[in-house]
Amino acid sequence: MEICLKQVGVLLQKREILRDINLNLEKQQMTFLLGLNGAGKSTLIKAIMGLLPISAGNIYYNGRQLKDLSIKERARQIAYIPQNSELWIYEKVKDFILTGSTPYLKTFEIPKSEWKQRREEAMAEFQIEHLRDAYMDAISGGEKKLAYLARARVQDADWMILDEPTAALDYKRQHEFMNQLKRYSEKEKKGILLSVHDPNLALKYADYVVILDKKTVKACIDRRENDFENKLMEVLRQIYGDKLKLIEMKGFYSLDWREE
Amino acid sequence: MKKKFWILLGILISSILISACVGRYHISIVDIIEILKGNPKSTMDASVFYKIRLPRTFLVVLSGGALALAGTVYQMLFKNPLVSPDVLGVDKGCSVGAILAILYGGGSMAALSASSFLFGLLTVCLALLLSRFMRGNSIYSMVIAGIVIASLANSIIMLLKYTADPNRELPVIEYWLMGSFNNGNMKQLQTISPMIFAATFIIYLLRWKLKVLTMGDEEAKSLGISVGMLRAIAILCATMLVSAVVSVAGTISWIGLIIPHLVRVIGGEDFVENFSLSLLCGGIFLLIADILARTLFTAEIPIGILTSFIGAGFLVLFLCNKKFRSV
Repeated sequence: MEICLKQVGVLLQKREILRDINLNLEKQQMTFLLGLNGAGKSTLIKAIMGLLPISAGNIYYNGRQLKDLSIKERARQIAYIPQNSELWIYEKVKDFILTGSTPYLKTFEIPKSEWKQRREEAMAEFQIEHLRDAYMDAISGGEKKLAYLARARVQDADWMILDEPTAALDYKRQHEFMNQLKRYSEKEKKGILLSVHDPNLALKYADYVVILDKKTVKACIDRRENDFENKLMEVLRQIYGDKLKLIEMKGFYSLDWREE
Repeated sequence: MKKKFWILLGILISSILISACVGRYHISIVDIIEILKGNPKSTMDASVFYKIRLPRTFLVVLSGGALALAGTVYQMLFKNPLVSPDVLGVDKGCSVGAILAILYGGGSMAALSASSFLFGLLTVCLALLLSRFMRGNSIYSMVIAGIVIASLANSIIMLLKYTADPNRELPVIEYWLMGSFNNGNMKQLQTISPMIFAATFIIYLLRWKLKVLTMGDEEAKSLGISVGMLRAIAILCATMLVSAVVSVAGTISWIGLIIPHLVRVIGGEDFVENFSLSLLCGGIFLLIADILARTLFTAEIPIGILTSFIGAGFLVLFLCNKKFRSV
């Protein structure tokens, strides 16, 4: 499924947060959203999800307008992994993951054994079976994110949208998470959109990078194009400043912040 | 979990039997068997059993279950285990309706029940409407709106009490406010049963969606739940449960607050699995309180006194218990 944004604008409490956003997100690739604090990454993500109303333009899921889709249909197309989960009381990990079935349940239906089977598979895929009876508020940040991934797998939507998923993860877990995500995306052929702060993650894992600046899309860089790394660096320097440098060593690239 | 269900059901049935026996007019188990066989020891026996004891017992059980379920739903909707159904003012609203009926309703029990039921619903509707006009987090604005409306209702209550005749009307008002099943009869049971069954059934059908709702509005929406409508229906049903009970028994506090905690300790935290446990525990608890109300002293005391007393004690136990997972 493709997600398409045409001239989208978003107002939050009468302030313009996003303006003239034009995007074409292809399925089955990992799209990274970069930008400074306050550039509008979370807002854009929520607008794409349909969690925020848009004041201008249109959003299309596979050619159909977002506003024409029912809330359940949207939920079947996109799985959402928020940055912070709203504190709720008393939920076991296994029950939490099972809620991924909700978009497919009929009005009064309860998930039965077939969904529980899918939950087991999801827990196995992300290796969190041992957390089955643990409580969501008693596990670590990294484990929580894996639980969210498992739930998204049960939800089995074409797209997964994550709002700064690595923000609270330690260095090792950030990369493990990215690899998990990439593996899942390739294996199940899902599209992934996520926002990150660290441009190196985008450099390393992204198929497509969208840079937000000054309320609109500054640039979109595709890995399949020539010279992806340098093009990315050029754009990033325009928002992060001259101190950003691209380092290349034996074919591997990395971005570095150099004061000199 | 199934085991717990049967144990509780057993306790409930025993409590029902005890309830049928005790009171100012004592009936023994043997007598009850005779009555059920159609062979009562005396017509008085059968009369008391069928016209007073049985209706009252079932009324209490139904009420206990209704209040417990309403409390559970409210706590889930507000995502706070310290919430009771009074958070949106239903108790105060019902009180306004009841007091108006006592003062101006000409002594009719039907008018009292109808009035308190309607005013209870009206109050919650007002609180919900007010919360829509307030900015910010939806749960927060509901709580604030509830405080405002309940306070308004309280001032009306105080005004009405002030104008009431201290010899005739005020005692009636105060007694009603304490809560009692003293006047429990078949007619009341017949009137509120359909409402309680309907509201309980709707909540039962929506139990999964309510559970997902506790994960927060954004996540619930991302899973396909129409958050606003679900919340409105759930509040309406829970309020109907409380209003129905209060309309026949007066304001009975603490059941809605304590039983959900008790159920969580016994049966875990899953609303979907605990559904029947809430109803059973509520019924048992209130029934035991009613039995005590009838037997502790020679004269029957209002049940609200007992629920408050026992309820407070239980809450202290919960808060001090290490096993209890605090917020």
